[in-house]
Amino acid sequence: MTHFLPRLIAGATRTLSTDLGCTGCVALAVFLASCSTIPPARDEGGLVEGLPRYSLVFIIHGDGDYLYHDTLGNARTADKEVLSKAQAIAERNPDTEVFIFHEIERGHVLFLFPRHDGRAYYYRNGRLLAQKSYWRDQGESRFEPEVRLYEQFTGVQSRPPLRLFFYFGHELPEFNGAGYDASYAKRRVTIHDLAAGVRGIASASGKIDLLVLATCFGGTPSTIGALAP
Amino acid sequence: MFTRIALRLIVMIGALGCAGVALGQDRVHNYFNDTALKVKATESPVEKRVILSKSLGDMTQVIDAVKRAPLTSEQDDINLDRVRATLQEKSDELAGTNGFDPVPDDQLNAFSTYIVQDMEQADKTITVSLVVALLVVIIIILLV
Repeated sequence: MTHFLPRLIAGATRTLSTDLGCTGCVALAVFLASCSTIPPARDEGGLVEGLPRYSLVFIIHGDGDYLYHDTLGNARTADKEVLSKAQAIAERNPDTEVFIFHEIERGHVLFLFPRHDGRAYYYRNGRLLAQKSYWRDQGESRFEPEVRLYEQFTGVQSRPPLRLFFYFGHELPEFNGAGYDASYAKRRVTIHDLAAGVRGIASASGKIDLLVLATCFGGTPSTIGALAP
Repeated sequence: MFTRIALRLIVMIGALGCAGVALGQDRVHNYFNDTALKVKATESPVEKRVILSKSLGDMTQVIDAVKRAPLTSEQDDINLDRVRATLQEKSDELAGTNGFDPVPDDQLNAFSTYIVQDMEQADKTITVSLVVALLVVIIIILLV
């Protein structure tokens, strides 16, 4: 068996040596291809153009059924539409810093190896400073991965004076919440999980000045109460 | 040879399994979108009504067939009944039965768009087991 694997990889990569070290590097490179990580934001003297006035945090839920058709019959994916608009906002507003967390369905390479199911982007002064793929099931609470990445991206930088938070996705239930994440059928997600995530981000940055919940039935008294400071 | 066939079947089932639920929901969405496109491509109101009526009827048949399958759970049946009721409501509105005024001829295109948008609403998204999702996909392919 230990001799079979190098021969198999060598057979698929004709130009490479059959040496076990080289083939092992090739396999590792292939399987880690989705893990693109740019080093966290840092002040590189000349890149930072002053403290932004606004800090925007977007959490975009895409791990579910977000396919829809417009009136012309064109298929669209709601979470990807929101992602592109959030990125456009980040790029066109030099007076902002923008954090985008796109939660996507967990896929697999060759039906066996799971791929990252979250993509994080950090923009400051209109430039993409950091981009990272991450796992959404690492942490004690539902939104802990996003809170940790937020803290990692912000580092020790001064916080902008105005902070906005946006959540896009299907309705967050007040209880039960089973099946909200298509990739995690047994996990339950409710509005209280989002409230905990918002508190995690607010505690890192101080406060949230405006919170936008772009979901169905987001205006119930219970939901407002859960998210209120 | 049998080993090779068995391996291929296992890989195929695994692949369908991973995509089963998403495939089922997307296939239903695309089905109604295709109906809307056919309705809008037709000039005759009579033909528009036939297309819409057949489409709603065929999807109802799919749901009935899936419900008859022994592998569906009680929760699946509840979810499928909810979708079936929605489809019946659309049929009644189209025909003007059960208290509905019939959809006028000049509003059939808009009605087809309304069906697409209503079926794609979040609260219409049915959470069903993988088995049911696969059955829906297979039966849609066979019957429609």
